[in-house]
Amino acid sequence: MSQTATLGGRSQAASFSPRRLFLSQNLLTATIIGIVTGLIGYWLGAQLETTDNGDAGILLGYLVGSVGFLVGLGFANELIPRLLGRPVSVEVKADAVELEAPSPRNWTRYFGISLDHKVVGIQFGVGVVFLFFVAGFQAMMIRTELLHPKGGPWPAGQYTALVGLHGLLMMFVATLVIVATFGNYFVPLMIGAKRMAFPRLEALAFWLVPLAAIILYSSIFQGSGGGFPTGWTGYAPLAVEARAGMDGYIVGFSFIGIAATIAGINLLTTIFTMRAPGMSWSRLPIFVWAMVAVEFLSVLAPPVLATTLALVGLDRSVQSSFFLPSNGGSAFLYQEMFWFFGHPEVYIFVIPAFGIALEILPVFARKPLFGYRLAVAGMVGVAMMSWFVWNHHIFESGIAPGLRPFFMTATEFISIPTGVVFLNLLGTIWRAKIQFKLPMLFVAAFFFNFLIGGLTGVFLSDVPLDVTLHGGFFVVGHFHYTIVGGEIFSLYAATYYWFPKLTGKMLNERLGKLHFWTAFIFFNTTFLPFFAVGYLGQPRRVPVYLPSLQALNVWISVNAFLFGFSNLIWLVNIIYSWAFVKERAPLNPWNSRSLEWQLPTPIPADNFQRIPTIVAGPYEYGNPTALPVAEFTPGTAPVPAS
Amino acid sequence: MSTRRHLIVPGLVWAVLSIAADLTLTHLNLPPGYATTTAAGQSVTGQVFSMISATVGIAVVVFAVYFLVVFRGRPGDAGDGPPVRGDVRLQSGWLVLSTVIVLFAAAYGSIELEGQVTPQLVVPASQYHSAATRHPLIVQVIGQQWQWTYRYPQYGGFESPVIRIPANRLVQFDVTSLDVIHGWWAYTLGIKVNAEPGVNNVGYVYALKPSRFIVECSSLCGLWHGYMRNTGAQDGEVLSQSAFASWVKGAQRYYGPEDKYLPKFALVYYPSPTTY
Repeated sequence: MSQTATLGGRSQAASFSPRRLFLSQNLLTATIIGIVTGLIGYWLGAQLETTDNGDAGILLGYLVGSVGFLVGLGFANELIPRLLGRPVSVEVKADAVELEAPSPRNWTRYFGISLDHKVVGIQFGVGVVFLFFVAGFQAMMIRTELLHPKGGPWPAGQYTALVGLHGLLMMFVATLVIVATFGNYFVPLMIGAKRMAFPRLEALAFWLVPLAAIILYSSIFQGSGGGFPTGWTGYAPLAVEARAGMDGYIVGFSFIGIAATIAGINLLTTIFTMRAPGMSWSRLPIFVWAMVAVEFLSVLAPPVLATTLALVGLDRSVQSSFFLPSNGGSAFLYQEMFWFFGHPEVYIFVIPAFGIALEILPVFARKPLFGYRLAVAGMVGVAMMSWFVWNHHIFESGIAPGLRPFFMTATEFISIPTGVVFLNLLGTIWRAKIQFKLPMLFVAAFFFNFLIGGLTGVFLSDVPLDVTLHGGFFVVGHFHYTIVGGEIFSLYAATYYWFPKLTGKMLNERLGKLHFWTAFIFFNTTFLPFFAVGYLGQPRRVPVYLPSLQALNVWISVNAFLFGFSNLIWLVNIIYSWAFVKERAPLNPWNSRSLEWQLPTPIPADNFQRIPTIVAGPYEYGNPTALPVAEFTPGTAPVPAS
Repeated sequence: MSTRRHLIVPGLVWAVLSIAADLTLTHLNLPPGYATTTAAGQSVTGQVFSMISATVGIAVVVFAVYFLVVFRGRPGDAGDGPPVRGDVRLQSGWLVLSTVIVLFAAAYGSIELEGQVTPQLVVPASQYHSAATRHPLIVQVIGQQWQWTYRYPQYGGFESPVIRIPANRLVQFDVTSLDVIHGWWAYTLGIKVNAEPGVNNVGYVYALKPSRFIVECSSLCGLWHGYMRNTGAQDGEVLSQSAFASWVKGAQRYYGPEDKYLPKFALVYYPSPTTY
């Protein structure tokens, strides 16, 4: 018996009536409630304000409006009756409608609160990828500015606001795109669970994302010039001094941090408590291990960010002075607190990328993952060590001199578990029978890009070199190679790999090959020169540069436009294959042993009719006596020939 | 094909390519140049790290490309590869090798770092015990939105918008800020010190010869962050000792009269907050 509870209990009838639209809990009414409560919050804040800044009103407006939106959408439907001591009724309905292919009747579940982790995964996927393209468009604007050494179409303040928006929105994307999309969708399937541990929390994590994005972009309309002037790192005291656009940064970034923490709690609990019988830790797919490793970071680091930003908010609105030295605070404190979050944050980006690459690699090499335990140790080791390196972002800020060698050594040591992943690559493709399908192409590109990104990180970890390289384009090249070349390329690989299971269609082969070659070539031709201009002294976040560097900058900008264009090919492929291609994909086009590929497409609402028993690991390619991964009906697993 | 051939062929390609890369790197003059001891140290470190990175990177790329090409599945062959799950010796060897490389990089970097931040080590060995080392020239660098100013406390505390330092003398920079976080970056001098409000951040430079240098702000500090620089007519200059002495005399005469309007020299300043 399957059950899916839809909060609000509205049935999905196709008929439209104004009464039903305006009196029920849906996205439209929630938005209206959010705007109204937001204005109330703004008015409240304006009463508290003791100086003429208006920040208290804006901050309260964002916060109260967000709560109003979430309550309007239905998140408090159980909470309020419980608090009042009343009985709670949650409607359950049979799932016949969800076993069919998606129909006009149930598209609305993507626009509300869904307790189905697969729906939440798709919501995240579409939402976050949309933000990726918005932020990518901003990158095109940045490169337009840098075509000429004296600056371009955007005045100085707008340029810094553009850089900050591009950076921060991409941080939103990078934090969530793999963990929240593929983690939410596939982790329960991979471990043999019918649902996640905290479905309602997961839906909350999703709805924080559109809120965060809208709040962040509302900063464009604040004050003259708009936006926030600090870049994505939000350094105080500039953040305290900044105009009203900074408040959008504070609230938006905190929401994304909270969403990451929620996703982490949910994934960790699901993985620890809801594995199917027989799914021992040594049979866990490497992608799930990556989720375990990353969620320790994801649960513990963003609360530090939220606290730090709350302190900045207090400094701005009620004139406290946590970060203002003239009143006893410390600007340096902000840097320490921010980067204590900031360094684990970047490993939140990269560890899921490792998980994707190592998950896909054995399927197309047709060989077990070489060094499975070492890979697990590597990812867990990276996660643990990432807490001990954060001062390498502030080597020049006046940290105690004795700390510099320590953090330099710790940062260089973290390259040991990171390097393990290359041994996994080489060992898995050794004597393999590699099939160069599209996911495999992107995995190969991932390893190439991440190699360059990782090696340049070693340059930055060396303090004397960092003296020249910090704050310049070398750093920008390093993190674009690891985040874009690493995580985004593994995102591409994951979409080509899992698209048949998510949608029942295959992504178009020719468009995919065109996407791969244009993305790989233009990514490298765009970002490799970053190291050159950085070494030659061009600082980051600055719209002007020495005229001798113009040729390099023009080359970078032109190739960046081409790389942006290659992303459009990917988008067109997704939309075309999803909406316009009629041919259904096979159930397991890559012949993967992993559990999610043994299910029908579309996957039923509660995943498994009966929880399977896991009898073998997912990487037993080439082993003639290996059983299939799971036994769906007890007692039917074939007895292996001895 | 035998295991040995599959390792020797890429191994030879790697050896040739990385020797070529390393030799090329030893002949390159990497930024930031050799105008000061710190910059020279960074240039050499850059060469060393580039050589290590090139060797390691070429190894991974050559072996991976070779394996990807040689071990591709032939069309029509839908079978699996051999079920190799791991190799304890290979894994331990990889870990040991990467630890050795990392330890070397960390040791090299730590020693180089001490040579860049300890005053006695910034000067060349011959100058360890000289008076120049015991009495460095002190220049206070004050960052504010959006300009750098420089005070010379040993010469009466006059404040100058341009920076001049002598060659062949240890110079100590006391960097601070009046408002937000700035970054004082003199690229060819090989020094970058953040200007933090309420903090005195110290850096050292020993310039080897007269030269001109650009100063930029390396930490985003607001609207005109990108224009907060000393370039062109405002270039910083390393002067010979005699030229520096005469510059100081002229500067004291020219900027001295303003001293009575400036706050008394201190290592940090707390200007009264502006209301806005």
